[in-house]
Amino acid sequence: MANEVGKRYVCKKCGAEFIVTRGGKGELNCCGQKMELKK
Amino acid sequence: MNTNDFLSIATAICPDRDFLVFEGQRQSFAETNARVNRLAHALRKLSVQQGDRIGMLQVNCPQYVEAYFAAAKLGAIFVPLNFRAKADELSYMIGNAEISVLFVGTRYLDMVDDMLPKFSTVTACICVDDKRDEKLFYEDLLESESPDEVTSEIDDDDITILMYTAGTTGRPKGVPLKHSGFVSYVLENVEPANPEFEEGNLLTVPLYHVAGMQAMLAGVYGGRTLVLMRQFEVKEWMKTIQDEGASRAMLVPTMLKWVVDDPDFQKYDLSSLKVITYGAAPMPFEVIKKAIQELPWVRFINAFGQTETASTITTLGPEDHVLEGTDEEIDKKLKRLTSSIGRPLPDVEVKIVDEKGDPLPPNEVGEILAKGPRIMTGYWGDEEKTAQVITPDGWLRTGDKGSMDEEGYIYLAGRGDDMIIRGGENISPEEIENALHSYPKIEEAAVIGIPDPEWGQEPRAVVVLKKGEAATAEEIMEYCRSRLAGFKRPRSIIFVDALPRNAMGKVLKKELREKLGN
Repeated sequence: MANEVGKRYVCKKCGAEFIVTRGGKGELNCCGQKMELKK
Repeated sequence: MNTNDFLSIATAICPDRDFLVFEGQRQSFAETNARVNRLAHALRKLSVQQGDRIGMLQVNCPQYVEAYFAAAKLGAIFVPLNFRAKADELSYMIGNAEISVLFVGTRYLDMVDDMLPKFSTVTACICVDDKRDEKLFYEDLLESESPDEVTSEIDDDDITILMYTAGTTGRPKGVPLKHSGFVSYVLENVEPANPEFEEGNLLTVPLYHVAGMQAMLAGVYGGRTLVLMRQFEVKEWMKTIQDEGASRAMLVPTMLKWVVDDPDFQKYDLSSLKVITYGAAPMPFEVIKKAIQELPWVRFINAFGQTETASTITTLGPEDHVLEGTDEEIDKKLKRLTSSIGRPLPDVEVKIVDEKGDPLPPNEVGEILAKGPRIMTGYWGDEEKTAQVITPDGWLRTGDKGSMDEEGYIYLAGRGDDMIIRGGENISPEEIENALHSYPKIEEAAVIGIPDPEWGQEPRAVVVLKKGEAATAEEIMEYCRSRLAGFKRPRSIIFVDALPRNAMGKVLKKELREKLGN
């Protein structure tokens, strides 16, 4: 999953939220699982 | 996180988006960030260190925003100064803050030059908008510096702004505001910059006021285009909304009244407006009612707060400005529009207490107290005044009277020191003012308490009639008889051409009491 600038990702387990300020090819993980794109 | 992150996040997400628009000039987030860095390097060369105070005496302009962030990048403390302050008041603030570098707009230079010799702390005075002999010039400073990022070790609880408030009583008090306070506000209440969504925010509230600063910082974090106006002028405001397609604006009640009352109001296309936030002074019911009618597509938000709370702590939201629903729902909304400041924001606690500090049950009037990460820890260098407003367990005494209903809506009942006490009964001046404002011949009115040998105090109304109207004191008092409980009616009416107001449009009741209170 490409992480696009400005997109926000949320961890469904702990609720942590990240905002991407520089995109990359990797995946964002938190609490041992993939983070979800916040809509 | 600190306020520098607002700019760096927005710059990373939407670098090429217009950030600051001012009198035909446009600069992007990336351009602004580069200029901020240049200025920060220049200030460092002027020996500005963490904790130093950087003053700004100028109307709204891009340099104002840049200077704030340059100070923030260095961990210095930004001191916005009221450009309407008289010389002695300005002198007090510069001395009290021990300002080391002072940015000055050209029109204020002469006044500043007269007083500077007595301040040993001021090591540099920088002209913001024009070159003057022997003075440092803003653009020259930037020209010779690198745009490379400037970083400092900043703690979230470091002070970022020292803002002076006179409120409507007494001499200016310095309010230190922390990075963490503004961070708390934006994280709870503002959507961060979005590369797929743009909006323009017209900023006319002065940046020396906490409402202006909050709007600016929220705008930065939100990746909004900030359209700056030097000062509010009603036709220019409407034209700018139209030309820029701005979707957000913040107005004080006086400004909103001027807009909806302007004879050319219908000539401007204000359809781009989505949100108008108002505050900083009580909103007369007749004004917001007219605004809702004239701008039915706009979502209105009443924002209540103080400098001491780093601005907004409660809001009466858009849904409370839409007068639809059952008769009962509409009545409730009308009551809220008349005197409610809404409900606390998520990061704020609010309670209503009696004179002993004990919480009051719903609908009983007492003092409004607030607590949370945005509340100041104390006045700058004034432990005595701090002890008067911050309780031992960290609650801020706002000085405003009010009540809270069962749904958590707070209703203002006036400033503690404006409250009229007649025969032991509290009378809220706002209630009487609302009644007066509903009289067709009255443009505006303010109510003060005057000494009375029998009752302690009596209400006196100070009235400005509409242009071309004539009225007698008797007819106004007769009107009040139909609207107010007997003990609340004004016992005297004084007619004036204008009410004394501060720069934010708040009526200066202390001045009214001094001039007309006997």
